[in-house]
This record gives sequence, C-alpha cells and structure tokens, in this order.
Amino acid sequence: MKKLFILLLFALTPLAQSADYDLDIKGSHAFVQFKIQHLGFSWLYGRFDTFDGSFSYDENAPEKASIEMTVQTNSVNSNHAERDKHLRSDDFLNVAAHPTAKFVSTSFTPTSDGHGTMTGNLTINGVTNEVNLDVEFVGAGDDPWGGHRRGYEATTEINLSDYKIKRSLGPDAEKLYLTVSVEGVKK
Amino acid sequence: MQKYTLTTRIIHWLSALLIFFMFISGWYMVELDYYSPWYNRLPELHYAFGMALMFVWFIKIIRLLTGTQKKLPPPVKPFERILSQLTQFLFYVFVVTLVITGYLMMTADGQSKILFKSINLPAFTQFSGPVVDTMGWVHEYGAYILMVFVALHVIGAVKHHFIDKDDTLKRIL
Repeated sequence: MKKLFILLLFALTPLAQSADYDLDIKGSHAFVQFKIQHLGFSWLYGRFDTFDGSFSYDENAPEKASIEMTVQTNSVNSNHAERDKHLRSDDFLNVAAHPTAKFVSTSFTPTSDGHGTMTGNLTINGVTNEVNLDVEFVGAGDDPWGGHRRGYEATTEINLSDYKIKRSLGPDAEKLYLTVSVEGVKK
Repeated sequence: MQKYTLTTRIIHWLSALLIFFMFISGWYMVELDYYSPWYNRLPELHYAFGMALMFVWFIKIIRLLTGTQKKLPPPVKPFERILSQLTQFLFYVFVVTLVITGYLMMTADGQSKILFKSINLPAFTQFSGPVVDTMGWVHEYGAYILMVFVALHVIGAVKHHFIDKDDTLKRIL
C-alpha cells in the first residue's frame, strides 16, 4: 500500500520541474533596448517602454526553455519627441497598422552554465522572420520578498530591410542591434 | 472707396505670406531626404515662421476683440456675406488650432525649444506618443482644410474683382 502510494506520488509529480516566469513588468526589471548607427559616426540608443511576456525554464531540461514577448510599438522612446513621432509613422514602425511587435521562441540550444541560443519568430512591422538570440544567463534565486527570480540578457542583430521598414537612413543605419534584458518572477 | 486701415492691410498680407509659407514648408519638410541640407533647416524655419504667425494673429485677435479691426460694409448679397464671414471665422479656428498643436508638438519633449541658438520657446508640458500622433493628425489635416477655405477666400476676391467689378479686393490692397 505504501509502495503504491509512493508510486502514485511520482506519477502525479511532473517529471521535470518546469517553472513559468512572468517578466517583472511591475517593478520594471525588464528592458527592450536597441542601438543603431547615426551616419556611421555614433550610436543612437532607444528602447520600448511598454511590453509584456513570460518564459519557462526547467533546470533538468534546459532545451525546453521558451519565451514569448509582445511589445507595444507606439512606446518607442529615443528621448526625442520629434524623432519618436517619425519612428511611429509609416516611414518606420507604422504603429497605426502594426501596434505590436512579437517574439515567439521555437527552440533553445543550451550551451553551458544556463547560456544558449534562443531561436524564434520575430514580428516587426507585420513581417515575421526567424532570428537567433544569444542568451546569457545572469542569475537566479530567491529574492528578499518571498519570490523566486531568474534573469537573462539576450542580443541579436537585425536588418531593417528584412522587416520592410520603408525609410532607409543610409547604409550605416541598416543594421539594428537589439538587446532584451529580462527578469522573470516565478508564477 | 474706403480702404481698410493700413495696419489691417499689413496684417492681412503678412498673414497671407506666412500661411502660404507655413503650408508649403510643412508639406515639403516631411518629405525631405535625411541627407538633404534642408532636413534640419526647413523645420526650424517652419517653427520660426509659425511663431511669427502666432505673434501676428495674437495682435489680430486683440484688434478684432477690441473693435480696432473695423469691418467695412461689403457690397455683397446676404448669402455671400454669410459665406464670407463664415470662411473668415473658420480661418481663426484653424489658424489657432494649427499654431497650438504645432507649438505643443514642437515642445512635446517637455524641454524648451531653442531656435537659431537664441530664441527660447518654453515647454508647457510633456506629451505621450499617442497624444503627439493625434496632434500631428489634426495639424496635417487641419492645414489641408484651411487651404480649402483659403481657396474659397481667394476665389471670392477674384470673383468680386473681375466678375462683379466691385471694390472688395481693392479695399484690402
């Protein structure tokens, strides 16, 4: 009887301790940043202020890690109201027609120490392309307030023309470097 | 023939020039190539002349309200009079709307705008992206509608001068 009970307990417990995490939007411990060259002379930095998402990670099966994020494109912020207005227009992000940008992972290739490559579909301006993000595991553990947190920083490069961005600001401003830095709180 | 006062005539033609420049520069500047030498210069001129228009119309509205900007009895039919007065009233509505939305968009950062490295235009408040986009829409389409009324105003003046052969146009010259 006792044996059976233990067996049943094992059967009911999921084999892998898969955990789901919500991005810490409330505490703003998540960032969608980008940089792009200005005329080939300097870096312009910008970010998206409004987005949401969640990821799941299982220490015993890291290859099953996944993430989904949705960005409100009208929240683009480069610290210059006139430029941001231009970025929201149909010359660039066309936020009226495409209010959201999205990343949905399809597979994760772990390397070591929790790092790896996240592959997924990135949708910007209504155009979806497959991208690979270099994922760096930053840290995980119990926070001081009774929760459990896990954080990553992921980077990738995208070509604006791949997303049918209408306006080109020259050959030096073609490649955009995207950094997504997130902290998740275990559900 | 009794002409409008010299000040009224100066303000009228100054407004005409400024509004014409504002429309053309506003229309053209948003299409400029990033590498055009005018890419930064033309918007700055648009802002500066917009401020000039704001100043001229501030005086114009004060004169209108205090009765200094005298109305002359137009030699026209009641219908034409209503049409003409309505068009001119809408000029005030649209010019004021365009100037206000323009100013607020120009200073939407919440930081004052400095024109020609010397003229400091203070920001009243900061605006979010969607609000700026709505103001931009109002500013763009407001300008197109204003041009329709300008056309109506010009057609009226030309009709009086060449068809009715009266003094309507001459009084403002």
